[in-house]
Amino acid sequence: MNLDAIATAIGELDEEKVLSLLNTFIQANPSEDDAKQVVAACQSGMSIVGDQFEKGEYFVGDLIFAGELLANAIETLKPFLSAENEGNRGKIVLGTVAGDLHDIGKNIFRSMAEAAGFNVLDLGIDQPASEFVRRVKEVNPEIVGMSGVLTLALESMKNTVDALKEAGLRENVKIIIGGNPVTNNACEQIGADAFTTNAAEGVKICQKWVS
Amino acid sequence: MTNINPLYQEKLTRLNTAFKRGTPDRVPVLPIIETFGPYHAGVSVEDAYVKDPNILFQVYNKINEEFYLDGILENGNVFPLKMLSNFGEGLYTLTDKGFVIKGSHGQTMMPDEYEQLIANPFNFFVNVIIPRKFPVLKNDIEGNLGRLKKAVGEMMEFLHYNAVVDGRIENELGLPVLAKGLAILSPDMLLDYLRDFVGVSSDIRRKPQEFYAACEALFISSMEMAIGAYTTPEDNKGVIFVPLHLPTFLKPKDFEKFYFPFMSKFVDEVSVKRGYKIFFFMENNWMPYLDILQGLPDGDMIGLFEHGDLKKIKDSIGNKFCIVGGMPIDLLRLGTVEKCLDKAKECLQLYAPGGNYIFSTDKNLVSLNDAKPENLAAVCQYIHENGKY
Repeated sequence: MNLDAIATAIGELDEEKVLSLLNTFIQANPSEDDAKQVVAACQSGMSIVGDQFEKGEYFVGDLIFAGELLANAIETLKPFLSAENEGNRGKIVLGTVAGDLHDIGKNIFRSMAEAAGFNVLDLGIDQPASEFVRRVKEVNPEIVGMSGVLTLALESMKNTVDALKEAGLRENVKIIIGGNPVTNNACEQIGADAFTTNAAEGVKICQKWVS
Repeated sequence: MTNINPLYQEKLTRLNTAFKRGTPDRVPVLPIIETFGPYHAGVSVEDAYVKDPNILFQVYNKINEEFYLDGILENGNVFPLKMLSNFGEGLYTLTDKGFVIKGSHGQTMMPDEYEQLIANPFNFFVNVIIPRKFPVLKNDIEGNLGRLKKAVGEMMEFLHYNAVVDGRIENELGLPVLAKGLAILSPDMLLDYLRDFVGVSSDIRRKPQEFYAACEALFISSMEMAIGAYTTPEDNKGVIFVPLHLPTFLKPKDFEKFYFPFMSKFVDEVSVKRGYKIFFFMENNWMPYLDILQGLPDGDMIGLFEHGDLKKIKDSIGNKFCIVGGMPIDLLRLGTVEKCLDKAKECLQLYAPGGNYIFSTDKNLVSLNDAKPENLAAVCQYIHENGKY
């Protein structure tokens, strides 16, 4: 199995090639260890995608497609993987904050974070501060990710950080915020640890936090 | 009806001169105020947009008293909620924070339906998309006629409501209300109404020819949307507002291939051939696309730029577009009056020389917290007083 070829094909968003490589691979009825190696190759393909995005070669539409491509690849490999093949880099509780129904940015970040080995609990859209607090208590993540597109999301992000503080959970987690309206000023005012408008950069920040 | 308010004529001339890429007497001031208006006036959005046109007029009366304005783009009441309520929930919802669009739940068309769409867009919308989007229409066929009659009545009511408010804003306050029509370019129709982000991102790779052909098939509808609502561009009272959604999600090479042809054709048909002014909301960062935009026909185009270096944008495509923007709402929201005034000063220094510039916010003011009122008041007044040519 040529793992580099899989990583490269994902990195180049060459769907036909990815599917043909994976189909050849599964026809040989691979072992779980082999399948895990292919998953890892897909993940390194995603980091090529992230690098291309940071270089300005890929744009958000490419990231969305990369997420689709990766999800399809993992789906193909699933029969050969055991159920508890969860990420081991750390846990992230992720959601779009209250009052905001957008999920594209959140979903891109989720697929890239999962590809980087994080175990992501995605709460979904329009999530109130209380839900973040409840799930942070429950799963005890290293990182909380909040997403939003509308300017009013900034207010909800601040409310969520405040609620985590009140619940005595703020010190246990790193908080990253992402989305169109976030800026350095907003990040300081909200009381998050980092902000980004770039999912690939966001994943790198999270990797640094858990390394 | 002729507007005899001298303020209206003065402000409209100021804006129109800038729209034509000329130098007006002063830098026009045009912040984009939407649901911020009702919140600031202390009234509920629903009361302002549905209950009584007088409430919405009073909102703008207050806004106009507190902030110096040369016009407004539109009054913020953009969705006929009452009419839509006949068909169940649509893509937009009105929360206590204003209008919110649901993210990535807009995929109403399947990838294998391109052929049907291309063959006859109207039939496809009527027979496939609308019943799918509004299931009540196929589950209660007997009730449809009554439902549609009621909806037509409520649509007329909605248009009348806005016409009353806009007429009073123009006549009594002397403020031009600029957006006389709205259009969505055909690739954005596929994005917004049919395939959503995940669908479009996949289609341009998996079905590029079908995507392009569908954009061609929908082009006439996007044009009719623009010119149907506003039939008298020669009155020079307004613009066609066109928010651009998909472009900056695409890499420039894909933008050039899948979007630009329809933007270019739209400018040619609507502005060059029919004399309309087109106000593009250039969402996100357009810096990587400036060279491509140089290829647009020479029509009357106005661009409100959300991100990017506005000075470079003006230097690069100021020959094509009237440049609008400059004031980051992040600063209006969090900064001090002093900091905001520094930025306003910078706008005059960097963007105003040579005319062809309109001062505005880089995003819509939606919630109350999007701008501290004292900051917004200070920058609008500053530009008006100091932006004299």
